[in-house]
Amino acid sequence: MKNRYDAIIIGAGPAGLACSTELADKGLEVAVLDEQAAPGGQIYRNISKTSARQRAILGPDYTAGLELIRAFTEATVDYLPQTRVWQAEAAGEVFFSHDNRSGRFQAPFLALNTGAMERPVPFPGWTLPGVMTCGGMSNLYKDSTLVPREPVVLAGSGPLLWLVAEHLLALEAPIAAILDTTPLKQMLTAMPELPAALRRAGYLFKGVKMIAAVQLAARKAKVPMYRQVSGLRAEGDGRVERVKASCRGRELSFEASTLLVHEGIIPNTALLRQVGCRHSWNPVQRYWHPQVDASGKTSLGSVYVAGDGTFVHGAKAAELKGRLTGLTIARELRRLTEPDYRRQAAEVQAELQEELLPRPYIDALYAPRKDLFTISDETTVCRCEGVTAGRIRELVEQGYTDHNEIKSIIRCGMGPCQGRMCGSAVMELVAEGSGRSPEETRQMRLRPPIKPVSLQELANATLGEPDES
Amino acid sequence: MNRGNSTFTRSEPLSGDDTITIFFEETACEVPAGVTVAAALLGHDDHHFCRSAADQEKRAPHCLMGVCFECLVEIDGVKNRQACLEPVREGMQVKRQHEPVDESK
Amino acid sequence: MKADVLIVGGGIMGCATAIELARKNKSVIIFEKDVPGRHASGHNSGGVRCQGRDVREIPLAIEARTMWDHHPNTVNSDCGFYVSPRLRLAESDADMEVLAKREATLKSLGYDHEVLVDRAEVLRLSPHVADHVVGGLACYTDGLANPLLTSKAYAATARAEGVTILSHTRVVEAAATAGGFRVRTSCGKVYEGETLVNGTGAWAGRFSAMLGDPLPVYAAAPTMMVTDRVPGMMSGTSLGLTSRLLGLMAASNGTIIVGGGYRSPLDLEKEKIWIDPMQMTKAAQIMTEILPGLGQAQMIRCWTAFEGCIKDKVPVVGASTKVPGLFHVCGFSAHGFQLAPMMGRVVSQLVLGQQPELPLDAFRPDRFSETKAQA
Ligand SMILES: Cc1cc2nc3c(=O)[nH]c(=O)nc-3n(C[C@H](O)[C@H](O)[C@H](O)COP(=O)(O)OP(=O)(O)OC[C@H]3O[C@@H](n4cnc5c(N)ncnc54)[C@H](O)[C@@H]3O)c2cc1C
Ligand code: FES
Repeated sequence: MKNRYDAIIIGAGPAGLACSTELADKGLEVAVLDEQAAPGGQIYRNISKTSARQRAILGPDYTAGLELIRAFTEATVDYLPQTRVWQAEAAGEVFFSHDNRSGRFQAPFLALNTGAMERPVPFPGWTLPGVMTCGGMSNLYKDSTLVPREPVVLAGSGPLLWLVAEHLLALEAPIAAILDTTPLKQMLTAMPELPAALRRAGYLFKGVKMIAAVQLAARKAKVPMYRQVSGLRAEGDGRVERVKASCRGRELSFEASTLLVHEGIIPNTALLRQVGCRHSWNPVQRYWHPQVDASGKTSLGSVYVAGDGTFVHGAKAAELKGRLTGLTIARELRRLTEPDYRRQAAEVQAELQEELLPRPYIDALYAPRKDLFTISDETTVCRCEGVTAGRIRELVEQGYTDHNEIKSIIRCGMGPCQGRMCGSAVMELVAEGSGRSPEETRQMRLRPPIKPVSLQELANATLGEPDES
Repeated sequence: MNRGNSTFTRSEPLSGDDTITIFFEETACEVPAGVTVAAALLGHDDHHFCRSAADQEKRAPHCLMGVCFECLVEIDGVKNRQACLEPVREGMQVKRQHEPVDESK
Repeated sequence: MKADVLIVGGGIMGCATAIELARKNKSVIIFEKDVPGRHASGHNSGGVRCQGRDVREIPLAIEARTMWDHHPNTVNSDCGFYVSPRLRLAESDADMEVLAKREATLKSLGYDHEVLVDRAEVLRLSPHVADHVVGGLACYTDGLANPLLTSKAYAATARAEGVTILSHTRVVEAAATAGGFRVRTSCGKVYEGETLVNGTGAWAGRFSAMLGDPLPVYAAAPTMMVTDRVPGMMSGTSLGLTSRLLGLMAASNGTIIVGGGYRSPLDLEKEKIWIDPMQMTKAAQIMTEILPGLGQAQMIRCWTAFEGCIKDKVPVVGASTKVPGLFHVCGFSAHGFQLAPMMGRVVSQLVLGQQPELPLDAFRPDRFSETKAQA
């Protein structure tokens, strides 16, 4: 098998697809590695196999991916689906696990387009089977047309909550309630950003219209909707049986066997932290993101990041960012002359600028609310190791403000997910207890392998220098 | 089709050719071809996929995008497979990952 | 600002020394360029072992081992310590001979902490080891501790005893003066003290050079790995090998901490360590040979830290022969954690001008020039 390339692209979502297609177009040899069984990333998951009805339900934002997939399928790239990258190095090495075997690729340029994940927000009962994320529900439907047949509650804040509600309503799933946790105040805070957003009114109104339509449909279907909801919790014996919350002083309780949660989207920086590129803290979105220039180049020079992994901007922007990264790497590899690069990049950049116009408004509207991480002491924060908020607070009180140290003592973040699920919450608990901004504390460190690898697989692996080719 | 205790249902019926048989805890289940193991099991019996290695609590898929590691199952004798990333194959043997009780505690 | 003793390095060596000195009414300032426990002391594998130590270290290690039992009284924390017998396995008759010789040597010196055991005893201690293992050398009193908890407990105790610990404060200049030493820090401040202790770990080579007493301490990055939980697999016994690189520590939560001599490439200037995945493959090969049931276990993550090493693998502990008033406690070559409590005692005795309670001749800072002269 070939193992040296001009560029290795990790992630086959919109950014990875656009980036690799662009590079292949310029005659470069690229490998594309992705965990999933088919290209498309989270947004266009399973797109080549979904039925006409699924596509109708999921709408044009989903089918927009078809063209990307078509171009990618026609491009000459070495695509490795079901491939888990567990280490990447700035020198251009990528170590991965594929079909229970570990392998190693090498290239002068890496594009780590690992996208985003839903912001994990601990609440009582969130570890119960039956508590899933809205994005997870969406993936489940895309994969297999599954929908809840028993009562389901949707809770959280952000467009994805409403998008999934829209799909479930159209599919006549028994929605027990929709609990919107967006505080009223945030609508006002977002107002100054509105004029810019209105310059791309089409996009914005599409979103507003979608949410309005879902709310209308929900009302028609007699689905109870509550606003300014707080104190969410799931209860049940071994799985979700009830969902409780409060709404402006009123206690709510719903019988339900599925709870779908969503509190926004954050960059999935696991691989980016492991490779060691520099990150910045965004105090509004409250997440760390890699420092990149317009082309997606990180502090490591040979390592690029495109798509939502750099900052959450959505699918279309991810595609454009991927294209720009592809063009830039092609220029670095001298497959594009400077004038050609400038011309082509300018076109993509103009489109990207337009795409990003409404973002400040949307970001302000759906910025994580102040009390998002008001976590009770008994709540499990680290799902893998069963560490509660109370235990973490105790350490913060003792003066620990570094997740890396807290982890060494009480193991939170030491399980198989390597802190992906508890990282945000620990950071917020430290901020709450110490009065320090996460910016002033050390970012949680990720060490290889960033995905667990079995000893048998490692023992069988030959990871020596890749062959010349 | 054995739908077990699933709280999910398929919103589109499948024709017979589109199904394959996998084994979940040794029971044969007919599942749609091409879906992930997580989707297959959630459509069949979604009670739990594994237990927390730390405290034995029951766990099931949470993120369905490869992040949370709550969907770990044993597939054809290989442990710790992420069910939300693994497609089903005919005859596949899937087992719940029950971590035995930690003796040292 | 002035103090009786200036200690550079807030690792466990610096803190242990500071505690003992403060308890003898000395004023002490510790300079730490990061935070106490950020480097080797907080991120080692936590092995508290007498097993396999260089004979020169054994008297100190045995005394240190008893101190590990008293930590709740001395540093107000058990440091996460528990006994996990350490069993060095013989994979062949040749290995067994090596172990028998070691036992005989120790006996001749009057030590009985390492005991030759047959396969039956090996299986009692560690029922899952492979069929080819013929026997071993057991140290029943060895154990494991939580390194971060330990270094934080030492730092907290030092503070409680009145020691000033200056975190995020690097010593950028240090020089001997008529009355002792003057150091300048990265914060731009100047401090004076009568004596100076060099506890700078991986940075000891440079720091000693800055003072005009260069020591051959070089930085290395021992690499550790940890598996997921494999309850029952280790039965509480930690394992080592006789002729191959591997150390498996039985963590109380059921995971296995893997080490035993793996090293990663590093850049001390940039404080960057690259984890070489070949270390994982090598370790995994040996692990699955020693414990065949481990194939399905998973490597969850690696970690490494900077450590100061010396070619002859024993530390430098003693007064500088070139710079009066300067004391070195460094070069622990990846096995200083266990010794730390005792180091605090003997170094403080040196600083106070007393005869150390155990001989330290083997660790003299000037031993290198001697060997050069002999060669
Ligand atoms: C991965 C690993 C595994 C290990 N496993 C074991 C084990 O199982 N058992 C065992 O007994 N030992 C083990 N060791 C060895 C043990 O950890 C060390 O020998 C011991 O911690 C050394 O302590 P120290 O205080 O000298 O070093 P450190 O903890 O490194 O402290 C030195 C400190 O000096 C500071 N410093 C340096 N220069 C300056 C300056 N100019 N100004 C201010 N501050 C400065 C540094 O920031 C650092 O914090 C291991 C080591 C490693 C790295
Ligand atoms: S469901 Fe989260 S990793 Fe599979």
